[in-house]
Amino acid sequence: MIERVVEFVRTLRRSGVRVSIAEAMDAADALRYTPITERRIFKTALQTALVKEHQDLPAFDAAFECFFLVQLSDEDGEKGPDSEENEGAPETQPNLSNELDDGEQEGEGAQEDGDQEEKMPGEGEGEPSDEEEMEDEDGYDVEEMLARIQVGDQTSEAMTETGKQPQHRGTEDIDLYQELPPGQVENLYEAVEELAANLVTKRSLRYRKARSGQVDIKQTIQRSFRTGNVPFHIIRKRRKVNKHELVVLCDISGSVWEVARFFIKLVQEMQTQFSRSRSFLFVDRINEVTDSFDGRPFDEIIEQLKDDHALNFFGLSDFGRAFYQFYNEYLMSLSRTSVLVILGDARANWFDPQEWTLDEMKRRVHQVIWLNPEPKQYWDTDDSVMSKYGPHCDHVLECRNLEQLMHVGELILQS
Amino acid sequence: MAAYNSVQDVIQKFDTQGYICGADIATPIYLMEQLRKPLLVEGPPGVGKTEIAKALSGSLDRRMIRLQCYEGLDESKALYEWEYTKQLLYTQMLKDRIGDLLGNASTLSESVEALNREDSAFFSQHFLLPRPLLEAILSPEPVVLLIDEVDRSDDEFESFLLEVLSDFQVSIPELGTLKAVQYPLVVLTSNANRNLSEALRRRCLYLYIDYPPVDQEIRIVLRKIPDINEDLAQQIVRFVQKIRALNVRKPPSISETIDWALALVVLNAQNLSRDVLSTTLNVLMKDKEDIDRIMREGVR
Repeated sequence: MIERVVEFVRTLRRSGVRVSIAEAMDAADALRYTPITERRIFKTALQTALVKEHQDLPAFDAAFECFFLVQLSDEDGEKGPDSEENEGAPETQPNLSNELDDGEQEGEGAQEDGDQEEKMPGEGEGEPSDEEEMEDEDGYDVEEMLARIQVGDQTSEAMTETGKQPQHRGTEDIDLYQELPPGQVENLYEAVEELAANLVTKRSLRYRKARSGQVDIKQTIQRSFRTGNVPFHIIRKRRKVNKHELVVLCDISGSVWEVARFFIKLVQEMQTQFSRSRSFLFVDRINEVTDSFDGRPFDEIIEQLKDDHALNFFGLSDFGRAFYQFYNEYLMSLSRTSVLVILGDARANWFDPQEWTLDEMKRRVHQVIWLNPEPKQYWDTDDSVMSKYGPHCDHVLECRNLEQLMHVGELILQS
Repeated sequence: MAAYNSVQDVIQKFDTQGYICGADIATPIYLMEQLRKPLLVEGPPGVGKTEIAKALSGSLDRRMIRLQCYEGLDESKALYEWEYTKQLLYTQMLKDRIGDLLGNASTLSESVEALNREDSAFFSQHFLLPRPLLEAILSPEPVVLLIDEVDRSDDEFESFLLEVLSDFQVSIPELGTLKAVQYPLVVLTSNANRNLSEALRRRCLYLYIDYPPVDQEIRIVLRKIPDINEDLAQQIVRFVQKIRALNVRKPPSISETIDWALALVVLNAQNLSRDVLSTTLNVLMKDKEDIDRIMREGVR
């Protein structure tokens, strides 16, 4: 039976769920305590031990269906009264337990489903090698039960093809300023997640160091009253590390979009490091999207944002107009603790750049950082007005791969 | 000594505590007890994650120790602190004794040695001020330890938890490693404010709770408010479930459903008419825009 679990774990891994050896052991352990005759409990037990992230649940469900059930996929059309009944009314349990009770019934049921590989209960005793191996364990019902459950070797192979292979090596210098193949995008999201985690950890170290400042005489003496005027506790001044408010303005027109989504992802991952963060997207109008990030999977949200009508995704980007609108509507919400980050290629399509609005914003905020996803040599060619905006920013950076993105993250955290 | 005999047993015992759940919730709980593993519970706010720990402690008659996590929570608040004041008082009271102790030491190094032998007197468990984690580990009778909203704590604290969760032991530099006397049942809850580390997840069993299906929520309402009319309870729950399906800013939680049902019972409402809605919807929904939207568009 342990072999079954191991095989199942391998199937899961192939479909992209990370499962450690310890977790596989837990799963095997868990099955010792759960009656395998009840499919729901059996499934929940495996799930509890093996799946540790909510997002992985669908993958688990699919793998479970493939692995432990009669292969429904083979006969797509009559895809199973079995499965449907199970989902609808779990109490009835028409599948496993009934089949066990009544050998006849099982035989019929299997034939109805057109499955040739199902082991008949009568024949099962003699030949399959699986069962022999298992009997020498502790004679648990589980063994017998599992031996009867159809194990689809082909299914696990089938899953390999559809399953994604998570791997993100050498993602650092991939040029983001271009169309990316869909598989790549997910890897990069993962890489951004890791990167953000690293940045955040470094930041936490900074917080801790902030404690070891000078001795705070006043507080130390006050504290010493408690301990009979002996300064037992030396209290140090806390160096102030303020949390900033982050305001992100993202141009998402055309090819900038590719970089923008990774940047937004990074900002989302670093969320906890700011007192507050607001995100705005624009093409020729500003649209606040701060509240869109509500815990749904990131790619789902981001695709949805793109389709928002308020954005006019396929319009011509007009920096001047967007900035002017921001200046009008949101200027008052900026303060000395805000860090304003603008992502855009500064290609204003020959519209008026209205750089004075940016200057006004700069006066109100702590810092303005401009990220340009275009290669530096193209700045200020054609309709690019980077040099008009540049003087009103504290930093202007090229940002087109993960390494640069990481520097940006560092810079934002240190600001 | 197993506290629960089977998954069914968990469901029944939880039922007596007023916690209604199906096998999907009961199985992990049964397993955490059998496998001696912590249980990580995730899910949207207000689905009864914290209640699990309470029901556990109630049904097993075990004390619940709660550790609420927040940003900046550190070891001295979660694990232990030395009681300096007490240590100092002891030192002063023992001043005279020290004379006796060192009386027959002739040289300085001899007295240091004599003092060294008594060193442990000052760093013993007497002076340890146990915080929730240590309390749970040292408790002579088994307890339920609830680590609430782990996702709010810092990354360092999360890493620190690893030792406690995998081996039920803590290391205190002055005392060495303290091992749990009885295995505490550990429940961690998280609202997914941030992603918890893989290492932490690996050490726990995992349970994701979503909003309950209609019939289960009706049973919960009926259980919590026995004098409610069953028809009304059904209407309420169906209404709430529709709102949840609506992509509102803040979906109503189970506890809010119950509050609302209670409000309707107190007001003696018979059905969900528009008047009733307009006066009581603020019990259920806590966001002005959501309320406006539902009053405007209705729920269909």
